[in-house]
Amino acid sequence: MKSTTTIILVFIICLTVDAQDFATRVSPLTTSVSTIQLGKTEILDPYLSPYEYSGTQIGLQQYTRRFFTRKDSILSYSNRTQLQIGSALHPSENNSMLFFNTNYTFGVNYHFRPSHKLMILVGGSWDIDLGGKYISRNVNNPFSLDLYTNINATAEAQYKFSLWKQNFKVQYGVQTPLVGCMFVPTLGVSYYELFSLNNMKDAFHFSSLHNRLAWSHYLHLHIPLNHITLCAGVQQDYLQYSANDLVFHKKNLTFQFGTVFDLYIFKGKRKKTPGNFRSSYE
Amino acid sequence: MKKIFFPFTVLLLIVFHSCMDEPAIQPNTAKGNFKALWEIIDTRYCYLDYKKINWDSVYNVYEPRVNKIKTKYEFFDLMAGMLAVLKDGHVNLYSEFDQSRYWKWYSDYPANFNSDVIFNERYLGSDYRIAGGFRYKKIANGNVGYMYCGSFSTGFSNTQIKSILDIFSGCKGLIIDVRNNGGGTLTNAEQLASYFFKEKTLTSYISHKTGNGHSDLSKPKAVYTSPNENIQWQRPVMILTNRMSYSATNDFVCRMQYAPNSFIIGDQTGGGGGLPFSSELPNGWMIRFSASPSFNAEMENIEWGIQPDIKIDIDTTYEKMGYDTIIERAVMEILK
Repeated sequence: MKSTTTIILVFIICLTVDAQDFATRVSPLTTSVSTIQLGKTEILDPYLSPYEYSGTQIGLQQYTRRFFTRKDSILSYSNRTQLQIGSALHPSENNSMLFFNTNYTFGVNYHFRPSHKLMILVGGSWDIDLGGKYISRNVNNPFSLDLYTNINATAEAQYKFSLWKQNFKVQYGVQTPLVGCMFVPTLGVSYYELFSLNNMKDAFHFSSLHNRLAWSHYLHLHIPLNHITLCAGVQQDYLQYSANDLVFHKKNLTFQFGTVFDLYIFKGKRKKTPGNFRSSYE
Repeated sequence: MKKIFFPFTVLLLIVFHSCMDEPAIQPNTAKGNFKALWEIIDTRYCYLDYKKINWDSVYNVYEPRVNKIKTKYEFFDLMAGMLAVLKDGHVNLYSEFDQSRYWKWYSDYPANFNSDVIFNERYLGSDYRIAGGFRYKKIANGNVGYMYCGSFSTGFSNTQIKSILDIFSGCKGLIIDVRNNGGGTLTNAEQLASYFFKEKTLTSYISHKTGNGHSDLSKPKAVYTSPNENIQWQRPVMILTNRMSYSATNDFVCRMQYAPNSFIIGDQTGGGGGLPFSSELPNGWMIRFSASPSFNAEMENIEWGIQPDIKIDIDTTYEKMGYDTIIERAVMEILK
């Protein structure tokens, strides 16, 4: 009985010590940016049609970033999850295409701080993308699968400024794929032949700058408003890739609106983040 | 400075070199739409050489007529006329007001099917059962199971087939009537065939266009029919065909040629061995065309159809008396 009491006491003391340390030590703070997206898109998928379809898309994006360790303030990692759906029309506007796209990106960033207002992030990311396009009236080629994974180069600049006694942040970021792997069907091959007969020859391709050109860049403004921070921005994506003598492209221009919040619950909405928590946005 | 300049130059060279040229598209004019259609067939239709069609001369015949066209309806008819040269039931032009078609693959031949007859009391009658798109009933005093399959567009499950074959378990043989079945989904045709095979069997080949040349086709890919793991019919099965057995039905009949205890009875199938694909014109009209040719296990083209094991036409004299002589012959083959 004595030994049990001793063990419990030691455990409680350890917890208390750890709690005290937790209250004083520097800890990385996860910052999350959640946005909804609305924009225009232009799609060329010659497997489905020789003509560029244009239309609108809506989407959701969840982006989180934090430093790796509590002692670290120069190396952060990020996770980005995106979901987009939309529809587009043939140039003659008498046929439509439905499409969806999901993407997950894991990134690592090195933080430079040339001045106390300016922060520059340089790094890389790995992403995997799954999507599809669908033209219902097509026969045996109604669907085109988008499947790829890439290693990307990324960069971001973040500038803090004050206006009307509020601290604003403006961010400009850019991402471009360097190497990867992508699925591209041959023009005359049906998905029946590809998947039912397992004839996947020439379906997967190494991708790099020679056959896949893409960049995505965005401009975000973080606006403090009472006790929340809003995020408004615009993003442009350009993608062109080629394989099996087919050239595809997708161009997006999306407007984004959402919130920025730190993933740590403090007592009360008005309570400020304790000073020992370090955000990768600071 | 040199350290920066060299990799930067290399990167620029790679990016510059890798700019991808997108193919030029035709304008949305009468000439542009005509040329777009002609080019799609020229580069992607898979039977131009097999059918010995001089597509350049077709261009020379039809292109001068484009200038004389006054309405979109006349233009559609001109394009449809050009496509009829291909003599292919899988080639259709779809517009907002019409769909072109080529039907001579069956309309020039005896019908060999009368739905009024198969629904009389001698065959399906009115008390037949329906499952998975099949209409079925025991005929010939309960000695023969008869299934009518009017389309492969409707899917079916193993459970449904097991139930049907359970009902036919006391029968000496089975008739699968695929007359007037214009096709549907290839996987449905494959699934139905799988119940009649004992082992994995080479039943056909499929190929696809690999380039713009008329004979730029891939090395044919062998297509096997595997037996269903749980359900197998091992007694005689008669497949009834006519000229309207087309497309996926043609594929089903091609597979069933190699099934043990199977006989094809009736008329030659209509064909449709090319898997159709779709493309579009600048004005939004859709073109469907044969893109992937298929062959039987002997590498013979099945675009024009498959010959039956027993060739027989419906005898119109008996037809008027309510007899389908193709079904009667199949019953006779089972009971003999």
